[in-house]
Amino acid sequence: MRKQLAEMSISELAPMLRDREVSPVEVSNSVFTRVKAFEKEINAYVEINEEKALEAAKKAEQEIFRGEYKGPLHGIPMALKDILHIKGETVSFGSKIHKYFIADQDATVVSKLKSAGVVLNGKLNMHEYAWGGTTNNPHFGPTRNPWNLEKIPGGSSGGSGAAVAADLTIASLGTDTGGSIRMPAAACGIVGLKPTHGRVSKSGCFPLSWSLDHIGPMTKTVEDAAILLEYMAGYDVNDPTCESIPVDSYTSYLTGDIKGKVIGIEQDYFFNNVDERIELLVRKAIDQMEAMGAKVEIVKIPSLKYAPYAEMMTCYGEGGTIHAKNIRERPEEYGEDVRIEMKLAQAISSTDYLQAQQVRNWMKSEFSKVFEKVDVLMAPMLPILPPNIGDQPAVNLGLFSCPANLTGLPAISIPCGFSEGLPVGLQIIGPAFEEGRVLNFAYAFEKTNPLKGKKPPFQMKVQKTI
Amino acid sequence: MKMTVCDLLISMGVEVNEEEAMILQTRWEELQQLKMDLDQIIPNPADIALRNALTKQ
Repeated sequence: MRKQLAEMSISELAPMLRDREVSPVEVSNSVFTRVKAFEKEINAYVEINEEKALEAAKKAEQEIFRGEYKGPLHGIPMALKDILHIKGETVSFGSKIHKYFIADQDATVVSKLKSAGVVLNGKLNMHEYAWGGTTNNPHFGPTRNPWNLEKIPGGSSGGSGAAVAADLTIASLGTDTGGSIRMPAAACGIVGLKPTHGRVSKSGCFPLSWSLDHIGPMTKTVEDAAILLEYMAGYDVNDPTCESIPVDSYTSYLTGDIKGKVIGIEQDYFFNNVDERIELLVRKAIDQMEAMGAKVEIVKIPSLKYAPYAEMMTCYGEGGTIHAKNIRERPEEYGEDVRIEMKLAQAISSTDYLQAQQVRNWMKSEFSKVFEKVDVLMAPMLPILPPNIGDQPAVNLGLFSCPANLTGLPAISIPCGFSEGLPVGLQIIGPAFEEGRVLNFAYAFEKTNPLKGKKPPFQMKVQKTI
Repeated sequence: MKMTVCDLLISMGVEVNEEEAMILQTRWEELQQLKMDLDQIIPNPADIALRNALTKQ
């Protein structure tokens, strides 16, 4: 059966749009048809902008028909996490306090996507203020995992993860402070890339913890993540942490050749406290890459044992500062879990915070030494399978994702199989600004078709009803 | 007298109700456990990194 347009990836749609085989309006309509049919089950969106999106799609259609094709994002509909400023529109950050906040300018990444011809079709649910990994949002309702509607989609970019997995958007962006792109990517069976800190401007994105925050693509394929990153990356004078390093052509790295490359495995931290079903799939994935010609080397990173503490203290120190006024004056307007975290954050001392920064320095030094010997590190993405909505996760969901936030290193989550009907994510971490290398390893593994072409179960109902 | 995390928060102007007090104390104790022996083990306590700045390797 031919795929619906909404089910396609950016790289599948782009040549069809360029060659005028389909119009941006048709693609947007296909997405909105699915959104109307299934959004109630998933609750990925906090705002659907059909009228505005169709106007933008019509404009893109006219531009393409006039021969003014801008590139692979032209006419692609995308919904974004509701934490990125869009000029003249409300942006809630998943909160009650900012529910009616109107942005006076575009976030830099939004501006870049608009310039590339992306059609913005709505805003996606998230954990309140991005402070949590479940997307069980008290103000907008919980987002549901398309693979099992009783389960969480991960978070904080859970709306993005669920919407991409359910084909309710062609692609999305997420933000990642302790794993908030990669965790929902793993839970929902999609690709999520956290670039190097400083690679993508954070200007116009509400901060959770400014030294840990990152913005990155959440997509159906590795190639789509590479395409999006090319358009998102680059120096921005409005973000003081943004680095002036030339942007690579990330798609040009996607050869799938990993022969002779070295995969580092750190067992003491990344393979401890992990569900054995997840470990099995991740080790199998690494074996498959070994069979493709890569070598495996065991490495040690002793500072990792302090990563969860350093992550919490940094997040409390910075996030607690941002919310210091509101948690004293309007505590009842926070959801219960975030209110507790914000209050706890007020108790952190400067010594706690600065020791955490020392741990980060230590970790960066150790990771740097490891990357003299190996090309990438591989690890499980989530320590457990996604729990039921409303259940407190039994372990810290960000256990394996937070090291890449603390060090700022690029890291990707790609699906590596299923357990109990739920997708499992493999994490690949690379040296600073080597997103191309990380993407190529992911691309090589993606070719093994780890999800065997399966789609979330409710997909079957879609075929029957629309 | 030992000061609890709730005492500290109240002294800082943060409201804490009875229900929250128990959760906050538990969470605080969990955090201290995560710290482990960090005070003793940190390799260079005079080194302070305030920026998350990276260079291409």
